[in-house]
Amino acid sequence: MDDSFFGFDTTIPEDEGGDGRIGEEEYDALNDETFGSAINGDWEEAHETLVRLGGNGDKVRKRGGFADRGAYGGYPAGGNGVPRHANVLSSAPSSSGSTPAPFNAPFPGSRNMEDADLELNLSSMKLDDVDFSSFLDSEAGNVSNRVNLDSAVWASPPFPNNQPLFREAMRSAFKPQTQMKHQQEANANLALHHMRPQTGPKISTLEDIERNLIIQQAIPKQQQQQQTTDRKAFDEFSLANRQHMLPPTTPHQQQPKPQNKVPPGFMTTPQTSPPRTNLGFHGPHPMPEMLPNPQSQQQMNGLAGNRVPPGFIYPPGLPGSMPPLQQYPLLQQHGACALPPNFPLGGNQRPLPTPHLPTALNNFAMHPSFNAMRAAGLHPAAFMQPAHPLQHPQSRMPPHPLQAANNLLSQQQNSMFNMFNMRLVQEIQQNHPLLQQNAVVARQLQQSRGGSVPSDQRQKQQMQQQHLNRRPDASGNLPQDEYDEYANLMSTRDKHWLIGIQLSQLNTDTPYIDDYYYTVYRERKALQNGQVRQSQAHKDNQLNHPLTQPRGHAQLILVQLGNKNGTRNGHGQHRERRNSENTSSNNTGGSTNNAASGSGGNNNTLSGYIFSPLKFENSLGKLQYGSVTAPRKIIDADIMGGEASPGDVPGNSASSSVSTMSGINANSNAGTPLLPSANCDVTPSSMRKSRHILLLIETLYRYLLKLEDLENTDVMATIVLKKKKEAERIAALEQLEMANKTPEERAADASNPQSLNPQLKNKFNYEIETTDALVHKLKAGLTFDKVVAMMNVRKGKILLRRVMPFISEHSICWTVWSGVFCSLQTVIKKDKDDIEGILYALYPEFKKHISKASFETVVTISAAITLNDNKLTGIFCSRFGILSLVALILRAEEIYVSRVDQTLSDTNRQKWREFLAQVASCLTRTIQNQTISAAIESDAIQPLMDHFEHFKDLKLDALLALITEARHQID
Amino acid sequence: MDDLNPLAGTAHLLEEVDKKLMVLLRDGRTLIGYLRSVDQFANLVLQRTIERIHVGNQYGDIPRGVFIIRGENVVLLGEIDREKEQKLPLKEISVDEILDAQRREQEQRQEKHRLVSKALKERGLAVNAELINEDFC
Repeated sequence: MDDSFFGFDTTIPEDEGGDGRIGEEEYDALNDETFGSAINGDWEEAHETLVRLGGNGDKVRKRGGFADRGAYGGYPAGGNGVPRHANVLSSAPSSSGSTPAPFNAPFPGSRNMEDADLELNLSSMKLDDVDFSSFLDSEAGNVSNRVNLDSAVWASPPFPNNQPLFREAMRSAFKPQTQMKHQQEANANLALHHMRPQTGPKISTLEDIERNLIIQQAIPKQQQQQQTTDRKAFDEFSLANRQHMLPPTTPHQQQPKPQNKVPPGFMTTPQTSPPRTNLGFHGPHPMPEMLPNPQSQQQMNGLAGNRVPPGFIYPPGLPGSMPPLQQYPLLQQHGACALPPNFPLGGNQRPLPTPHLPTALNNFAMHPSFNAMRAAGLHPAAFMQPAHPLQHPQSRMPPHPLQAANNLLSQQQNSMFNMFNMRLVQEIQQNHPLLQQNAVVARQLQQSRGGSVPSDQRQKQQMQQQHLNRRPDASGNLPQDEYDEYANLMSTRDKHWLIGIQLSQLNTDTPYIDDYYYTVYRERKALQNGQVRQSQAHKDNQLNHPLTQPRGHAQLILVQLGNKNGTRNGHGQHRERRNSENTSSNNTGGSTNNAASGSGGNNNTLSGYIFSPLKFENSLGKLQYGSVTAPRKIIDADIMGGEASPGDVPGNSASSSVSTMSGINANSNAGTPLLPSANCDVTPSSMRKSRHILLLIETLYRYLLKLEDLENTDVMATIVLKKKKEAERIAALEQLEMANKTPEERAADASNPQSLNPQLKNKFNYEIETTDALVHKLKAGLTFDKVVAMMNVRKGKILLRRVMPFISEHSICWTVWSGVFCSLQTVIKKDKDDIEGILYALYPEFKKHISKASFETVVTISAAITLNDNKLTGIFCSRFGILSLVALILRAEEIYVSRVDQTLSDTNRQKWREFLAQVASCLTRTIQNQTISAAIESDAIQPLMDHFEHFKDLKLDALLALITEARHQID
Repeated sequence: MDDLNPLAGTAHLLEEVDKKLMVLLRDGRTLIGYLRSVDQFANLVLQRTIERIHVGNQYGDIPRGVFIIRGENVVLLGEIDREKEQKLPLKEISVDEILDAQRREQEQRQEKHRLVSKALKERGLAVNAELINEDFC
């Protein structure tokens, strides 16, 4: 070999001690810079003591200095390095098998142990064990700084008989690969193309590596001299290749690199790999990150994920593998991958981090949605190693065979990365001391997969990779030559956690509603691109399209509109109702009872009406809805201010009463809830009263509609189906939410049910109630006063007519009829235009009811009929009135004739007589100036006349005349 | 392609990590620093932060070191274009000078505001000073 390498002096002084001294100084400087004061005391002293105990102190020490210098400098191998390197290679296997004891010496924790004990001891240790990591950090880490692992580390076949158990497991798991190893040896160049990270024939464990580290360190010099000629030849070949590829001038050429500690075959360019490249695959270590170099140990030592310690620098102007690296910006960032392990940093030479892959990959494994990340979570050094022109293969950190293989692969296909990483994960899972219990499972898994990754999965990962890793460069927007020592403070785990949150937010089954703008944008873009094929997402969106199937806010709007106008509740089919419908019905409280009893003397609860203004989901502010034709908001705003009035909805409890007092009735007694009757006087505004009546009518309509729904099986089927769908949606959402929650969050939710995700609220909260419950609620609203008030409103009359069939069996119907007749006078006046149409519609119902009424009821109803001297008496001047009167009289006659009614008492007879007398006198005193066009059945005249016979003393002729006149009119 | 990217259509701050960002806070301050860490609330950790005060075409930088920003206070943030940063059309002055300039500017603004409200008052109009954010005038 030459004494120069690319113009560098590569000669090594014969006196190794002198050279070692220089190296040691340099090393110490580096060490100070790197570690500052030693974390766990003066490790150097301890180390020296240990080495002395080991017997080969001086030489080991010197060798360590050499190796370290070589690693930090990253210099190409010099001529003398070749023999030494080969020496190591050849000596390591034999020494590890034959003389293990001295090599244990540098490890303080196990210096007195036998090799087997050490292995057992280490295998039982946890990687993140504090002692272990700190120990590695301070001791072994620096040992590895100085000692380069070579391929012999993995090639050392003669494992002691007492190997750790999991090594056996490994071997069995990788049997196929072992066979492949032999093939590769047979034809190395060919095998190069077949090289895959997973093709490690033999997997070394952490203990193996450590043991080999020790071996290397403690190998006597004379043993190093024993090198086989074929290795020498091979290394020469390797060096020649390196020289071929390395740039002729390198800025960091400072010292010749005497030592070549790199396993042969790990060339930076795969194309020129020597025939013995596969030498490195004698025993590929599955866990490069577990090599006890200071960086990885630092990470193990309490740092989560792939943090990069200060001093980390992205290499500028990386040729070769930089483009693939740039494809994985997140990887660069997350995986701390941008730094080659022995990248020369000039003044910033610090221990460079090796990504803590066990942690990272296990994290990856925990995030199944991050296959792409996992795929990209490749050991960064694998990317960088071949890329760096200055990097000498004889790294301070032993170039891992897997990494080397990956270097080759990195220039080939991305899918290789994915395969590699999946393999790596599997291997780590199998071999990680912490994951021993998983080894069997993992092995089975691997075997079942046949050692291959499905290609579609790879492709998918590839795609995701490209999307996820879009960062243009590794060092933020720093200039490439700027050194950012604090970069990558966020660990991969942190970032994945964050992305996970974002992904969970994106997880929606209704993208059209939850992610409207992006979804629509994508649809339009797809249209622009002429994509006829409809994606699944597109179909999903169509399903939720507001025009085809109103849901979400679109549905809400429709519901609002429907309830506002009160016209959507027509006939039959499924009706959507306002959200507040159910909440209001559920909100009837004690104060409601007070108000109800106060106003109507009815203790039935009436659910209050709570107006909830329209809100758009997830909007910050309230978007109020109102229109010229339905200025609902204005009405409600007014009502909310002055709540209590005769038509007050009792459901609005004390709070609304208070607001009433503050707004309108500030002088009234603030201590007691205002009763509507009390408020009658102080709120004379008929406008306000009518508004309350309108609200009451609407509330009652809701119950009525539900009652009518119950009658219609089709409607009920639709409602049930819709409810089921909604329940499924909510269940799915809940499941998703629970899955994303920690147990603490669940506990918090359980204690605070208010904090439910608004999405979980039932958007279709139609509660199916029994008829009895609904009738009960209806009855609560049908008090005498309210019926009177409702009769003044057109839809109130319609409501009463529609309500009647449901309350015909209840005594409340007579209260209603009393109200109807009581209000007849005002109704006649008010509804001159359409007297008969709606009012008369009540008559059939009344006729039905009265036909079953007792005499007392007849008397009661008659008492409700207003009779005065008015020229326009309601009962006479309306078709409904006169017909009702006739029906009433006919019922009385019926009872008189049958004489079976128990209420046919003298008192009632007397009352009835008085009523008839009143009618007669009323008719005689006043001439009704309103013609009556009542359709009186001709057969009703005779019973009437018969009835009048009972009261001959009364001048009922006028009444009879009226009735007959009406009949004549009809005729 | 977008169909396969689960994060398509969204933006995430992770892309900005370790980049030099300018962050505008709700109180009007402008911070420039290297984003080191973020969380789901967009809480930010800025390192090597400077607070940059602009007055006219002058600016001054106050070193702030590490700055932790509660996410709700961020109005906007953006990456600094390193190339454009080199040829800033603004003139850098010392901290004292820029603070002085800022103070003068604020005084001017207040004076103007005082005159305006006085004029409005004379016309029977009341101006609610609270509603006018001085920082974004």
